[in-house]
Amino acid sequence: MNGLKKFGSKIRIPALSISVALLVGALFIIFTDIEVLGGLLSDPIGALSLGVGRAATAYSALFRGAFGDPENIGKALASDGDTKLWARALRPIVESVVASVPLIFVGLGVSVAFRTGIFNIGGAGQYTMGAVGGTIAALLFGAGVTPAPIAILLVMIFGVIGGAAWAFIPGYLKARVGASEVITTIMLNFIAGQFVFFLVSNFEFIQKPPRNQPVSKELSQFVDLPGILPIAALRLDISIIIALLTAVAVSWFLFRSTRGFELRAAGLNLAAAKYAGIGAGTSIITAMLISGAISGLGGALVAVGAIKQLSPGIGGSVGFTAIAVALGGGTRPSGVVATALVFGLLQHGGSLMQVETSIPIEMLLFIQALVIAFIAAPELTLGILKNPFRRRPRSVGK
Amino acid sequence: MKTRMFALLTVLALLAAACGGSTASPSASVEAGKSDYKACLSLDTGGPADKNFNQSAYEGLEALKAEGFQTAYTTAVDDASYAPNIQQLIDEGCNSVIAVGYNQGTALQGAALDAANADIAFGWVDATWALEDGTIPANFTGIDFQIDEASMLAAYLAAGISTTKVIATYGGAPYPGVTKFMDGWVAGAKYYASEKGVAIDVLGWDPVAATGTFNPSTAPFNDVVFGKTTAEAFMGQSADVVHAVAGTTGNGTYQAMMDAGKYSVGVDLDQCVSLPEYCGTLLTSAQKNIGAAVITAVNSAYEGNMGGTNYIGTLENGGVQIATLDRTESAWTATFGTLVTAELKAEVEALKAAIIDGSVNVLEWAKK
Amino acid sequence: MRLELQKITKQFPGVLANDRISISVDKGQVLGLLGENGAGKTTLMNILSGLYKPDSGKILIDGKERIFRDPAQAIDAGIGMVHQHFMLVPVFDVTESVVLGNEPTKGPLGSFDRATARAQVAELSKRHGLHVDPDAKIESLPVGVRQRVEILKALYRKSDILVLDEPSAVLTPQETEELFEIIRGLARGGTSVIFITHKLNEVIAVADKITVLRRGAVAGETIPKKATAAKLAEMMVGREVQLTVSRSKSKVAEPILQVKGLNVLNDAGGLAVNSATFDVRSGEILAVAGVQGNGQTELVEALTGLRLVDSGTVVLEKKPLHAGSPREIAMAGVAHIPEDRNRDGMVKGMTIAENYILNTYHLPQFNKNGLLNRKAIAAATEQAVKDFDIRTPSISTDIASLSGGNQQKVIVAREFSRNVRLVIAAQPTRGLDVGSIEYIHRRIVEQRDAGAAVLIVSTELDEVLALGDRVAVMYEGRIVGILDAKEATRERVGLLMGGITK
Repeated sequence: MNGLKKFGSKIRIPALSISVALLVGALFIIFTDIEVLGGLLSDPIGALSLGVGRAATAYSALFRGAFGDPENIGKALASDGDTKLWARALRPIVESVVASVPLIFVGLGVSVAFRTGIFNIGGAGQYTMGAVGGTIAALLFGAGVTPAPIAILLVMIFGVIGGAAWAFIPGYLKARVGASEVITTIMLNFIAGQFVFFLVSNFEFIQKPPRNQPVSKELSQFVDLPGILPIAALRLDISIIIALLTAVAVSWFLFRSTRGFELRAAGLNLAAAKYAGIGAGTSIITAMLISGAISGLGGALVAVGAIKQLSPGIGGSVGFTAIAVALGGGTRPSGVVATALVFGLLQHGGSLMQVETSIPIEMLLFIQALVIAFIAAPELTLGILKNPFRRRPRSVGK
Repeated sequence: MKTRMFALLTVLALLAAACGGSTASPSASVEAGKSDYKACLSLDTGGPADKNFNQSAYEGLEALKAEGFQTAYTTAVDDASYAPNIQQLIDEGCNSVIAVGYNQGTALQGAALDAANADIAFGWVDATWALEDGTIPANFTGIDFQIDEASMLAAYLAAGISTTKVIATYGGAPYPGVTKFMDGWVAGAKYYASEKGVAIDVLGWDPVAATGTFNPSTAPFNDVVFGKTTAEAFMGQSADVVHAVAGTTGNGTYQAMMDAGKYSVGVDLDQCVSLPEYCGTLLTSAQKNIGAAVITAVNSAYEGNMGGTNYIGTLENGGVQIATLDRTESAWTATFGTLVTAELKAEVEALKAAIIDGSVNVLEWAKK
Repeated sequence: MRLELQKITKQFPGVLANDRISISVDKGQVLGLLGENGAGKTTLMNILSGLYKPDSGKILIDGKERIFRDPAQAIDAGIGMVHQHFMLVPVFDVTESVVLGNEPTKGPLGSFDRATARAQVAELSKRHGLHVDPDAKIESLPVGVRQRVEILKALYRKSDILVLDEPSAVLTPQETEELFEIIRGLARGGTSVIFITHKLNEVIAVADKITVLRRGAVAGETIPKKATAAKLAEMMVGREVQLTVSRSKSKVAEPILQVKGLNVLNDAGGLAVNSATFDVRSGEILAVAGVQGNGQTELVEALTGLRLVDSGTVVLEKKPLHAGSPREIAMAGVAHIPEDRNRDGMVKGMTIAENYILNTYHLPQFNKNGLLNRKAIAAATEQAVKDFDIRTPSISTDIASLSGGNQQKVIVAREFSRNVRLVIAAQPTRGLDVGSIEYIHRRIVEQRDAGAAVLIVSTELDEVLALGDRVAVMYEGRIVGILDAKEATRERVGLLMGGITK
């Protein structure tokens, strides 16, 4: 009971934040609809009910796109094991999870840096370089060159090396010459994208034949990550399991190991960490290496598994969304996983919303941003809802 | 208190609606069969308002909707969304799924080859594809453009207004999709020279040796500085019209040419519309009519031709064209109103007719 | 003007910050408002200055009730605040600083009338005996003078009631004496003054009337003639308090810390510590006095490895430490109670247990194969909580939620948990309540009695005089004198603090 209560109090703010964000999103859907706005003066009630109807339709699609359509689930249940129907019924929730995998990895990666007080916004670049490492490993060792499990292991190792190496640069620069990691990591994000462009347009080894486009060969022909669901049409592979194990490992590292203790101390109060004999430079470099390694691992697994190709845009929006995920999850591994899942649900649900209602996908990015804004400012959320269980400030100024 | 009640009610209403399922109303049917046919686009990250390929394709989809088709589209958030988005469209009952952008190739090809999707017509904008044995899958249509035809017209026009009789072109990277423009550019200049008996120099591309000016940087299509310095170098060799085939890099060229009071020719879409600030230097654009291609491909699939061939946009089928010369934008008319004479327009029209009827072959002229 | 606060009550969720507090100050009277941190002084002053609204109670000025919705209304009513942390713009000159917000203007465009402003400031400064050069830049002024500028600013706004919040915290004894003169002068001129402090001797010296607050309520009222420091302390704390540290004579033995010709640079590259030479011996307390900012901070940082030693030697029991890292120095037997506990001494956001092992986590008893030995850590912390009477709900409480005194106890417990040869305590009782001060002092003396050498750096003269077996005074980076406890009178030390070596 007590545990339940504790859990309840932990997820109260995020849950409220998501609700309020959806609510504000609904208002936006209603009041950006041309027809609603057009009718607002002549027939306000009609226009508003039209708007509310539209928002309801949109959210219905969002819900079904994220979790699954009850109708399809009903059909699947009634079908007595028709894999096609089951695939159809479960695909939304499965795809939502697939969409959350890169966010879990990069969210965990940047969280380790944030915990150490380093604002690593190079998640995108480290993820990209991890994807480069994974792609190269797949091309080198896949397609029967080494046994499949070894090839997968090598994909992961190369991904870790790629991401860690990319993160080492800003870490070293910050530790040794005090270069701001914000600037160096942003620049390295760009460079990573351009580096991929260079690779996939100049090397026959990598570029997809007939070599007229800057994309890599199709990687599933080299390494195929095993799926974990009994229905082959549901493409959830082992990367989600590795993501969850990584989350556990990060949690263990941060809160149980002495290294993690050092990093957290440095992150919360660098002056006190120095006072306690913790080397700031070592902490920074260690944190960046771990941070980059995790993002890189994600990049390798997602490029080889879910995307099956390497292209310059692979880092895309992952880096910045993952920062939101990390902050939304309070840089706590469990929080990061939960927030990434929510974002995955929103993202995949959003694509059905766009299909059914033509509400642009940007609406979902907007809702995601609101979720983060409300999580970051719980007072705002509580203020909007005038929550009756409003937490009391524990103490006041002197 | 009031706001709280309101919020609560709204939430409840939304929840009720969400559980109640879709309330989308069926669109009015213009033509009975078309209203049962769903045409869908998987757009790249730019989305439906990117002022580029995605927007052009989306405009085609809008036109299809007006024709009476059901339509739907998705926008990619990043590379990882291609496969789920295409699958989403398949699950939503799309009969025709067209993906925009080369990046979607792997995901699109996977879906097209899946036996479960054999009855869905797939299309790929700006790319063609064949299996290893050279055949094109029966449910697949590559959508490509014979853009050299349009570039040839643009070059003829450029040669006509050039005072130095030196025109130039360059590419972002030596991809076939890029050099095709440049071939047409050289062909147009040579054709003008032979018609008028005036020597025309073309800088930046030699179709026979296949050598020319390209951007060596790692961001060949997104490097305005290269666009600017290259344009300045060309002007130093007395070129006064430059055709940049390099995406955003070209914006640097337009800026440099405009600053010097010289001219440019745009690529892909009518850039006088998409980049109005450069309308005063953009003589015309060699334009891929992606919207028209989408409309053609969907209608063809609707009529039962699921694929197995490529759609090639030409001057003849309206898939490629040069941007209109009957413009009203004041920036354009101020520069080109008198330069582009009715006589020149008529000559361009005549060349277009000759290309369509086959009496002028672009590649032959390019390599002459 | 007569100011009266009647039964002011202010409830914050979970805390009754002000419980029916009534105080009054007459025209020309100086009210000393005495109380520990957390007694409700600041809340009360925030109510008076219009920042908070009281839940109940009245503010009367000359018998008429006033309600302040914001600070501007309080200022209009004649209430002037001089905060503990000055709110001045360093690059402004005195005139600009004083008139800021109420500038005299001239011309149709309302441009700043500097000449008038300067004349007004000069006149005001002369009338009240607050000597300040109206043209001096704020950044060039010593702290004591900046305080005068703040007072002038309040007077310029025609304040009849002046509230001074812990005004002596940044002053030398002599500067404090000058401040008292100014306060007395203002009172004679009819200004009412509320003087907030936790220093007992100050209220006795300057106040006409003393009100003591304890836990949000008035604990008593008295006048200086009837008050003694001991009595006031008892009112403040609620029990009898030992104000002077009882300690036996020190059994001084061999030197433990030997510092020779130590030069240390500050962040700007200037010489912060200038050829400091001294010893601290086993069983003695060397107290370093000085006005804040005279190199004490850099001295302590250099001794503890947090700042590079430019030249000179530091030797701890024959072991050279001037190039040691903080960890090497700590492991050599140095306990360091840092000057700014919020900045250096603890990691807020971490638990008490984590803070307790902050610099010993790497030792074998807490670190098993790279993992924290949580059982051992918990056991050690529980013991420390018991030994040091740390008031906390549990050892996994965030240290940020403890009171300052308990936070300091965690730090002291941690530093004394190792084998200690030398204690370096910088401002060990800053901001603490009387009860905690007494406790921390006792613990430090215990270390001395156990044979450790103790170096205390403090800007509180009372502390220096109470603890030091010898007193060193720092002025502009130099040790300008080292006195035995017998010779170290308030006057002599005070003069040395001002740089006067005769």
